Amino acid sequence: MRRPRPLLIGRSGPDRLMPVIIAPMAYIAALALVVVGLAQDLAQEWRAGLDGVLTVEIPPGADFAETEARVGTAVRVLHARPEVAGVQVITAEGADRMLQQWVGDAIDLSGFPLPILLDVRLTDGAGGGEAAVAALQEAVPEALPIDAGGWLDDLRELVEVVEVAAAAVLGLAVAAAVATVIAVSAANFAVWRSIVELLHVMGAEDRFVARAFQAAAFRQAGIGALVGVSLAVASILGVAWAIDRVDPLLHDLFDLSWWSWSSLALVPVATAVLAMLAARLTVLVALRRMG
Amino acid sequence: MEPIIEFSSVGLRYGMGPEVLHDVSFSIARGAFRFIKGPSGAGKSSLLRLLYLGRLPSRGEVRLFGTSVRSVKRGQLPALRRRIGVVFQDFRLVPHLSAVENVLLPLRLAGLESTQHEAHVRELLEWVGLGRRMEARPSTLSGGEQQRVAIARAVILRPEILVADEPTGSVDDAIGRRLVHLFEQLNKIGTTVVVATHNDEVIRRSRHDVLLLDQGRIIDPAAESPAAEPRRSEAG
Repeated sequence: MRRPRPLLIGRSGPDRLMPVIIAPMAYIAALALVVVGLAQDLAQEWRAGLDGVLTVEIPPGADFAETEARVGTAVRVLHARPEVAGVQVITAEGADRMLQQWVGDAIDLSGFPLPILLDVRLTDGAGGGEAAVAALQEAVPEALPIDAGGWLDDLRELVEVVEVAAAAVLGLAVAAAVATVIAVSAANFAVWRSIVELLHVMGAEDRFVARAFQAAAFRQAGIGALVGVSLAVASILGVAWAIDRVDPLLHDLFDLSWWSWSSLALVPVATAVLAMLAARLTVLVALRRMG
Repeated sequence: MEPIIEFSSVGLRYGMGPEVLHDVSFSIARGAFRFIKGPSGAGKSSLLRLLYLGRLPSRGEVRLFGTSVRSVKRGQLPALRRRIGVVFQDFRLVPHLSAVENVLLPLRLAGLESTQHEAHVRELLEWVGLGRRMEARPSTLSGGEQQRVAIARAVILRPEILVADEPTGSVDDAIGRRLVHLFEQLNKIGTTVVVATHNDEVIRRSRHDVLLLDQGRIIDPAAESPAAEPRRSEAG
């Protein structure tokens, strides 16, 4: 038996527009997903880096001996605390190196009275090391704990705002895509109305007619989303390459997790399925109105 | 015999427009052949639309196969529609399908498409004289050929009711006569046939009852009693 020819063949004007409109929406949705993924990855990375770590700043004394005495006392007090697993002194040279990454070689930092930093590793269950800080400040009143918790909270808030903004962009892109599919399906329905009416009168089941439209929507939206996501991936790789050229240290910022890549791969499939469902619903409603 | 079609005080309007059919009441017995005659704009096509379930009445009752169409659930309407074959005035062939594919369409909709059925379709097309034009697209067929494809499509499922809207309107007299002859042959094998026409010549040559329609009303309802013997009831 011959293979049945599609009943609604050829690409109507509205049908042809679908990939063109869906592609930019898929592009935006893909970028929004990447932003969400990056924000979450960064937050997790920063959190992991700061958990169980306490940084203490020892201001320099009037002379080298006083500074050394302060640091020596601080290290001794901290080592004596049960909640402290280890203490590392970041020397003035170390601080210079850290700062030079930002200010460059042109400025000589050796003359600046930079504070000495203590990198304190806390034991599990030590919380924020409040008891150790209290003991330290009793022995060295000038010692200043750097409150990373507050900074981390601010960071968490920032990440949440970015996530909400990206989710809003994603939601808008999805809503616009669904609205597009509904409009295109309705326009397609109008284009093929005479044939649909004929099929209707000949006893076609609604789902038979809807299948023809939903198949077209699945195909066209899938093509559009594939193009959009491909362009998004190209953009992401382009930006990553450009950042790598500026400073390889920043490359990690753009290191997408497998979750981000997987969600990108799912965009065309999800878009096609969503378009199929929207088209089906639109056509079923139109058929119901037909009688 | 039990009527296969019954209209009782039927009215029809499209949307918020004026009523195009008013208090139409008649019945047609199973196996009858009936012409519906009237001038252009009389409401023939609207009446046929109710017959083939293209519309539901705005008021009154339409009963087909002994069932009120209003009581039929929407999901059951397609099955009911498949018991009715329709020949449209403008043929309404699917332009990108060949003659064979157009005739196969009702089988496809009914989920009955098979090699055996395709052979049956080819036989039917041979029977209506289109043996050599089976793979032709509608645009390459003459008006008469398209009409015969439309008729083959309407009868392929052996409908209990065959409805034809002005089937002789766009063909010459000779082909018109052949078409009516074809309908009579179908009627002989038990199909109830309803043909809307304003062609007096076609009606005069046949010996079937006529339902007169003018300005959306039946003109001579007394002549359309289901108990009445088939007779000509044309009133000019």
